[in-house]
Amino acid sequence: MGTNRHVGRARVRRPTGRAKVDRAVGTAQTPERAPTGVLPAGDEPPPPVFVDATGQRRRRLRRIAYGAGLAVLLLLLLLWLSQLGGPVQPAP
Amino acid sequence: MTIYRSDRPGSETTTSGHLPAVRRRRTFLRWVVALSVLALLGNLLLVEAYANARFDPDGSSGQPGSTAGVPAAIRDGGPVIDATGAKPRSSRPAARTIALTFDDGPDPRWTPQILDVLAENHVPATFFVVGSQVARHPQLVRRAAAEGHEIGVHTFTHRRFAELPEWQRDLENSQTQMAIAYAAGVTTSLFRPPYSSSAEALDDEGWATVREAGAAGYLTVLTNVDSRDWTRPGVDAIVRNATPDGTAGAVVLMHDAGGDRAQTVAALRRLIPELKQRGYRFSTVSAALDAGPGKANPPAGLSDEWRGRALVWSVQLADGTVWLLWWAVLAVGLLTLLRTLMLFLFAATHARRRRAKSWSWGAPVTDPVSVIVPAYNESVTIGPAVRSLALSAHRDVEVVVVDDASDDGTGEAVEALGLGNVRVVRVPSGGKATALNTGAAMARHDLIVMVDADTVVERDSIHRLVQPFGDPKVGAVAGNVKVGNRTGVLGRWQHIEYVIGFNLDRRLYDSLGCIPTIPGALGAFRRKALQDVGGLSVDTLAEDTDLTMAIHRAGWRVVYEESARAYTEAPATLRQLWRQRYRWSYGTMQAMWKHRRSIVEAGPSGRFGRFGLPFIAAFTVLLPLLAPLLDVLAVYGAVFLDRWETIAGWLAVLVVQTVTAILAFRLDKEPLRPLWALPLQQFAYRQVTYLVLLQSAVTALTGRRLGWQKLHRSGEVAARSGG
Repeated sequence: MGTNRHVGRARVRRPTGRAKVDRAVGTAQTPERAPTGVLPAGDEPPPPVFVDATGQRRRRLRRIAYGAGLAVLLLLLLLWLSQLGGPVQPAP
Repeated sequence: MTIYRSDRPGSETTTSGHLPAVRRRRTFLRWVVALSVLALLGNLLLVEAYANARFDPDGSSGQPGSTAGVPAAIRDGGPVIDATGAKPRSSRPAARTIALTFDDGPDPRWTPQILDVLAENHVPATFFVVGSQVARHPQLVRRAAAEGHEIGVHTFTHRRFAELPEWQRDLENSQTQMAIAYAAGVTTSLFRPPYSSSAEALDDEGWATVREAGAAGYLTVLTNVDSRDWTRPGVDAIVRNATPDGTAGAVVLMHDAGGDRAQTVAALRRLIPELKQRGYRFSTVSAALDAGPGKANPPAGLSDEWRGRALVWSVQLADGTVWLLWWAVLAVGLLTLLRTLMLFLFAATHARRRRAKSWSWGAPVTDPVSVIVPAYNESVTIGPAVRSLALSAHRDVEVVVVDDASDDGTGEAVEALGLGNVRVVRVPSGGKATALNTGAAMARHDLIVMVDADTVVERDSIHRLVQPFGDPKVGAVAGNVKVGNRTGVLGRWQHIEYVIGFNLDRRLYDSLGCIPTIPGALGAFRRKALQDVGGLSVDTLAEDTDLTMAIHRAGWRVVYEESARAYTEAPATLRQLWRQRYRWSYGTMQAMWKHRRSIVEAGPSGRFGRFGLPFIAAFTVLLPLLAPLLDVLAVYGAVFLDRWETIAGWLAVLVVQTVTAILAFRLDKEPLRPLWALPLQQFAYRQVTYLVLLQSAVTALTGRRLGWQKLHRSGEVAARSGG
């Protein structure tokens, strides 16, 4: 606005009383999870894909892998021993 | 591209949170597993190489050496030599007695036919078997023994014995005994050296072999009538050759393996009745001797049978494994070839279409653009990045920097630039996806560009990037990201990879409408598309891939604008590269798994799920996961197969890759000089890319939780942009 004239004054009255203040009865919850006008921040985020929080899948797989790994090493050892453990010759 | 950490320094989530001692034990056990896999594969390949030692048919014997050491009595004696005692003796079959002998078997095609002919004529014979063949066809040896034939040893791999070291000669015969013990339950005291013929032809080396066999308890069985059937001279000639002179007894040499033995089978059908008519009787070798030592095949002990079982099983397992490997390599080769052809075809077509004068996305887009830059501790790089964005040549650009609780003054660094169209939004720590969502909510405009804080754009990049929105169906646009720090071999390798990835792969995906990722370093979105999919989600580590797939499924087109370029800072050390790729490949797997239901859905989601998703899975996960095969077989081929053929094959692969790279560089008008680093890529970089994928797959299977650490920034790209 180019011309900004004052056209009058607002009338200010004397206060007519006081608000009554009681003792506090508790603390209000802070609105951390409350939806805001700007952001959708209401829900718990979904759990990450693949993650197994209990660790059960991991333990089971680990047991299988170690069992199989040791079995393989044992079998290989047996194979080598069987092939190199003394010659097989014709019966005298 | 930023490796944005979703966890703070305090929370040590890169580890499982266990005590160091527990962690050490786990690491140790992990090595045990990896070692056993490698040991198994190595052993199987070794067994295969051993059992497949080069094989020349009998008769192609080398030059005869000196014969001075061979006793005259042996040279002039019979074909069966007993050198078990102090004084070697030789003997010959009794008059009018024929011992038919068959070498080199068993063979799955010809041995049964020969056994049939022998059975029809009620004639026994002797089979000198090759151990590796026995391991492959034990049932044939079992049948031969059950039908009353004798079995003799003809070594394990049919090698020229004199050329082998002593331990290997022992092993060859020993293992053949084991295989026979497993197959037929017998041992044998008969031995015939490979490439041997008559006693007359024995040279010093041959005689040494005979002595050695004798010392081990073997009777060496040579021959005095050679049918020469291995030269395939015709049925008549074989019958003629195999017929002894006069009434003399004979050990007749024939073959039941090592090539086409149809002539041998046909000759036998004539030879046996003819000789019978002339009064000959047929017998096994040991029964034919005038002074025979008795039964040649006593029953084998239990331990020999079990040792044979171990041998036979490992040979068959090795055969199966190598067969599988070759088929897998064939599949990989065909898939790679298909991919290369598609890349060439689609990328070239794509480039030609985009470069045509008539090409346009629609009306020029001049709508205002909001650029969101999420940043966590990027004070080194953020200044130049934000400046390049804020000074973009587009009508109205606002830059929203979302400072994700940095503690290095990132926000202050931006504010210090004093640029009017840049805002800093400080948010509590929450990760990249949340920061981007916040930025999108704070952005004023409906075209939203997301750029990493370590990425510098060209002046017209933003303008070009949003041009595809002239097409109302386009919901998201991928930009052309380049490596800014191309120094060092690692930088060059990544540069090559990026140029190929953005100029061939992405053009191919664009042509087929299934771009898997809008790179976090430079991408543009319609606000409507972001709202349709509910913004970015925090449940995968590759929020960009996840978002892109969601936008596909919501029915928007996702396109690639190659003229919008950005320069990002690539990892400068192998360790950082590993982290980055781990996050990418694990995140891509997460995103694909998250969107798996699209395969069965209807509409645009189903279209993406049934076409785009399998395509992406095949070429970004399956094919790279099979890549180690190439290395395994290259090593196997170089050591055990024809070295030159292996090198030629390997070079052929390299040539294909080089041609592909040259095409990509040409399409992007990049100088070809850095391509010298391409051959070197085969030796560390390629392995990193597939090992990371392997690690990601294992992590996905076990369900371990991952945390991420921030990439170390050198600020090199930012410095050179003149920030």
